[in-house]
Amino acid sequence: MLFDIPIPLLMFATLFAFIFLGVPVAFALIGTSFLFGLSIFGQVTGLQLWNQLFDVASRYVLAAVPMFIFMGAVLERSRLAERLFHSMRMLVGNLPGGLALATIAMCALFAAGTGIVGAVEVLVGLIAIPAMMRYGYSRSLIAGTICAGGSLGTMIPPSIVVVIYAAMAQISIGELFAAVLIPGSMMVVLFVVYIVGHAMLFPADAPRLPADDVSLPLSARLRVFAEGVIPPLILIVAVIGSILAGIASPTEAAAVGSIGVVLLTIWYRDFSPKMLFDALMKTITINTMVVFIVIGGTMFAGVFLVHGGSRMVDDLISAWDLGPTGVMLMFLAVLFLLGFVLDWVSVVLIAVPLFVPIIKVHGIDPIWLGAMAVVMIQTSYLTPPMAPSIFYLRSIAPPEMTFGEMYRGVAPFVVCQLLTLALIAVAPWTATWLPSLMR
Amino acid sequence: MRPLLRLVDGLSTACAWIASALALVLIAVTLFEVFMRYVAGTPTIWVFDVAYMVSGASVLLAGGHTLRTEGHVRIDFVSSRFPPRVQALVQAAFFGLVILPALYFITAASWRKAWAAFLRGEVEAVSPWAPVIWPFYTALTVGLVVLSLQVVAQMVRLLAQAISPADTPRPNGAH
Repeated sequence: MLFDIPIPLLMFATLFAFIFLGVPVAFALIGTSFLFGLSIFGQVTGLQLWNQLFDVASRYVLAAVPMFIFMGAVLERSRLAERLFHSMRMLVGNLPGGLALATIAMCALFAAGTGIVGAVEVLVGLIAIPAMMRYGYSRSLIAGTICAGGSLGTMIPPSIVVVIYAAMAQISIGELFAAVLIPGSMMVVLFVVYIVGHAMLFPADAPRLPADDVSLPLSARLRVFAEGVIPPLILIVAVIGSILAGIASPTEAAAVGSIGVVLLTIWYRDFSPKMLFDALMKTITINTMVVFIVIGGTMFAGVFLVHGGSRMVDDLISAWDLGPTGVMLMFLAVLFLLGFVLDWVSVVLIAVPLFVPIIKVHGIDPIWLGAMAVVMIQTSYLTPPMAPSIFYLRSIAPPEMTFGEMYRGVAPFVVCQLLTLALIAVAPWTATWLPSLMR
Repeated sequence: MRPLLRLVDGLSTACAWIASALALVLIAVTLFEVFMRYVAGTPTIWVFDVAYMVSGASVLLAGGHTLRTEGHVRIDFVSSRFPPRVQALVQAAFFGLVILPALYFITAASWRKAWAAFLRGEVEAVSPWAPVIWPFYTALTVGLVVLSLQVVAQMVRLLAQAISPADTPRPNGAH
């Protein structure tokens, strides 16, 4: 019988039914909350849902989100990316797998400059794919590099994933930024090691560039570095540094970063009022998309709670007698699986409120777990077959690149991410040491 | 019908422009606070409130535009296998039967909050600056109203598409 199914379960079933019907995820969340809210709140359902909406719309920390998006939107419209790729090629082009390394380096820099997942991948991919194709790089190595590099956007501060996760898990955004910094750097190192190793073992996959392309005297290299890399680097260090040093709140740092990128475009003579207007319109659209999911997710969590949802999850977990490690593994598994079908904002919004109380009860360090959760979300972003990174790549890749090549190319990078995850798990200090300095 | 649809689209676009302007205001006031706090050493009491209000209002005011330009994430690997006509009908039914009633009740509540706050001159309860709260409530309400209108407009387009798929453009105009 329909009525024997616990209501919280029914809520999830309805939510996923709506989502798979192809309606916008934010509206699927709002619609489900409304239908199930009616049965408890009756007359005041509208007011209850409005209260949740108001709660989200008046959160100061979320004001950082549009400004981080704005940074990315401006960078996307400037020619900074091309200039940066050019500089990177000059600097690391003559190493094995040089172009792929330049791509990763650029993704890392851009991930640090913008909070938008997917934007980094598309932006860098549009420039780096043609270059790598021209020099005869193997298509699977290209695919893997672009997807993996793009996934760094979830990991390297100021990532919006981190802002939303921290807001939902009720931990400090600055501390979570600090927590993912060392793991994020390790991941970049692993990516680099893999690319160099691959290029040395299979030179045909990553041909060396012609010598005259990259053999510059040291003075010329220094100039390229000073002109192309230093200015964005200063901006990034200023933004991330001020958050980590505890000087500025993420919202304040985001405002400084926003004016910083605008000054950069003026410095490089890329600025125009039209560019600013386009960037602003793009910013508010993406921001609304993200925050509407937060609103819908908050409504859903609220109604779910009143229907006894968290008690049900509690009962389930205590019935399985999981213990802290089990709870953590289950949380990470849920993130990973949800990430297959949902975008990351929805994943965080649905999974985090369910687990936060349980995590507290088991005395798990929320910062440590948060760092692992961010890596898990990133891995889920990258892991085929249902990988947003692959879908983004498909939209910009040359038609001759097959899904098979993409999957093969991505797999080693997924291994690098799992290694990072394992490292955080066995050596929690990699995540907790930096945040502890901030307290 | 078409002029009405264009009117709604125009309203959404106008609100999106306001939302863009608010995003600029957000950046400007936050920078001002950074300057006052870290350079001048005299933090303001009003930037915090203005920042969250402007940011929240910007989200809601861009709601219609984001819907119209297909800015929302949707998971279409199942639904893209339905025939286009069925897809359009399903979307229209969801908008009409679930989202519109939900938005109606939420908007009505929002309007009552705004009106009551205006009549009572209600101020922000926790802020030392204690600004009146009705302009913020009103901005949220306007955003919700425009979003609701845009939902109706998208529904009309989806229905038209379901009836005669050939001669109607895609509901969003973006693809």
